[in-house]
Amino acid sequence: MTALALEVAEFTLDVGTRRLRALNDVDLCVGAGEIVGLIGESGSGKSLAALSIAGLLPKATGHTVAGAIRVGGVEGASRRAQVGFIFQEPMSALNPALRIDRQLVDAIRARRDADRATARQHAATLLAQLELPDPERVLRSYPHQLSGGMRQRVVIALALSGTPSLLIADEPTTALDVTVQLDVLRLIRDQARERNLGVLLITHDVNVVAYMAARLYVMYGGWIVEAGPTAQVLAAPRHPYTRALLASRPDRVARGAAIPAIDGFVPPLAAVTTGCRFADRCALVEARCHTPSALTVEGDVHIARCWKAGAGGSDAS
Amino acid sequence: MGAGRADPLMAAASFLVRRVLATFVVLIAVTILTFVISHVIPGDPAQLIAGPRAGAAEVAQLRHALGLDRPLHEQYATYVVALLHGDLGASIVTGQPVLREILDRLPATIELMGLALLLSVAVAVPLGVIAAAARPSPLDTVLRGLSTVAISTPRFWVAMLLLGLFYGALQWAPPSGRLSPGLTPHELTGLLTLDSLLRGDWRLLRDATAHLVLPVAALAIGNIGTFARIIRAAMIEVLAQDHIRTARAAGISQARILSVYALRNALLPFVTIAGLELAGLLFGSVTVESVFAWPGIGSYLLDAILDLNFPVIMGVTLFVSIGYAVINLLIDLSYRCIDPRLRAPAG
Ligand SMILES: Nc1ncnc2c1ncn2[C@@H]1O[C@H](COP(=O)(O)OP(=O)(O)OP(=O)(O)O)[C@@H](O)[C@H]1O
Ligand code: SF4
Ligand SMILES: [Mg+2]
Repeated sequence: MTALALEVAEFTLDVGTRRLRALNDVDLCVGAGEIVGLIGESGSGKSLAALSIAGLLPKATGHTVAGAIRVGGVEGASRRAQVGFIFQEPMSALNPALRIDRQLVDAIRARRDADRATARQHAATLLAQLELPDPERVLRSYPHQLSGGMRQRVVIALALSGTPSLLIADEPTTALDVTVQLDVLRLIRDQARERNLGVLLITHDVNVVAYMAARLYVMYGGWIVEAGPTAQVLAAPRHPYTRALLASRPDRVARGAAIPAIDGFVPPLAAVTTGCRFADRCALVEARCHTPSALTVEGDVHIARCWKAGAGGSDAS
Repeated sequence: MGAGRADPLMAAASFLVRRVLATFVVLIAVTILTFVISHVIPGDPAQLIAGPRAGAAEVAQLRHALGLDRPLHEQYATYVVALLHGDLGASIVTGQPVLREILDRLPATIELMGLALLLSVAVAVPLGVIAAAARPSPLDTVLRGLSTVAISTPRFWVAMLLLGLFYGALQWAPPSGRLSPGLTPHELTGLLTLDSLLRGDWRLLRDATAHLVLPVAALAIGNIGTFARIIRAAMIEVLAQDHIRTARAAGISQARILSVYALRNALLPFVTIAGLELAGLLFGSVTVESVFAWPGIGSYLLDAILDLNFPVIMGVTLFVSIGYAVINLLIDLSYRCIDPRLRAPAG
């Protein structure tokens, strides 16, 4: 059996000089060739999880970690070579002072033994596979000479250049024109299938997850609060936070009606809580919610971290 | 992007033309300024030339001969016409044409300032990069302290200190001038190191270099501090940008990220601010040249000021202004090399 693309086990992260808890006991896995969604409000810890997996946490402020991360069966610092990262902002993600060929050739040669000419050839092939017309012209260009969609394809090419086992896409389409969003998503899906890549797709957009991902994790306040097959979670969310998140989908709200944003905000890392992080925004909160809750599993696959998971569940929406 | 599709060569050419025209306007302003200042500053050149014991009639006659009694605008017109013929007037002290004296002394200053600039960039860039990359670390603090000391120390003081230490106390360096007595330079470019190198004259090269070390160091030390701080600040800003994280994610080595991916982007703010610092370098060369009896433009200007030698003061000011304007033009052009967004049209 091939190794999982990604296994995260009981991963905990403390950040900043005050070592505030940013991620709690995160368990997460992505199979080879599988696309998995990670959703949650702004500030819930999605990007920190992604950067942790890729080994890209900024060193300046410092951090401590506990738990295990394995990518393509590889642990420790060498797992970095197994991860391809697609960033949100295609403009700022590329170096404005260097031509595309320099950036791609350097990336290719950083991960494998190849002379410049071979690497450049490979770069052109990669761009062609990503449906970029006239790869030679793209290679000779600077980032500012390309459109947003083209730049994002170059970013994807950079992510694929090291032949990774896992692709992490952190809001890959948020900064793009609506017209090219679907193209880029389809491209990521096709590449995952062709290369048998695991994909961790991070987004605010439930529709993107519904379109792309077979399974789904919901993150809140540094905890995974719910996980399961996408169809099942979307149809019958068990955690009150997931239900609130789904209720705020713009396309689910009747035209003209106000979008029911979730009251309150994600607690800052410094806010001390015992028990459920969602307690001060939850309509169902009761005394026991202030003590740590266990994970509950329904039907083997649908996990939720809530004292009342399931209560008022599927029929609430 | 509007006119973005224009031929890049055409765009560059029109940019060049516009900049050269602007430079001319600045230079005309400079001629007016030097002219006016030299006629407003107290001290009568005619009196000065005639000497303290000359009678009033004698001075008036000299003033008439020099054209100093004519209306200002007429005098200015004569001055500009002469300028256009390459005539900057004659030195009141030596009677020699100012232009020739300036051209004789120019190579000494160019060699001194050029090497000082080269040395400061060559030392400051790696220092600044290391300081930014090693942050926070004791090394960073040490470098910051060093550059603060270097910035706050006047150049003439550094020059005196170096002279006192390496010539006075240690006797390691030659005292002053460009060459030891008895050596004759090769007449090529006037840059002694370059000329002796081209002619393969190692004895001359060694001697010229030995004479250059202290004045170059005196000029460069202050710049190293400033330049290193500019590079450090620019690098810190660039290193926090998204594309650096992309380069890290792609597995590009830290050394390459620093020396290519970040430095390329840090050069633009560096060149901008370093260009402004050049004025300080020009100014510093006046005192440093005087301390080391360096036969360049700086010491020439200082002597002229002390003698109220107006033709020389005006000539040097004009020359330095031209030099400064040309350097600024080169800096503007270099932006287009450093930042592709200014050069190539958007697609
Ligand atoms: N170095 C740090 N020191 C302190 N707090 C930090 C640090 N880095 C991130 N945080 C905090 O950690 C929390 C999670 O941040 P993260 O960027 O992972 O959120 P996110 O889910 O990706 O949000 P978004 O959807 O806006 O991208 C935020 O509250 C953020 O302010
Ligand atoms: S544990 Fe309690 S507070 Fe937390 S989500 Fe469940 S019901 Fe709400
Ligand atoms: Mg994020």
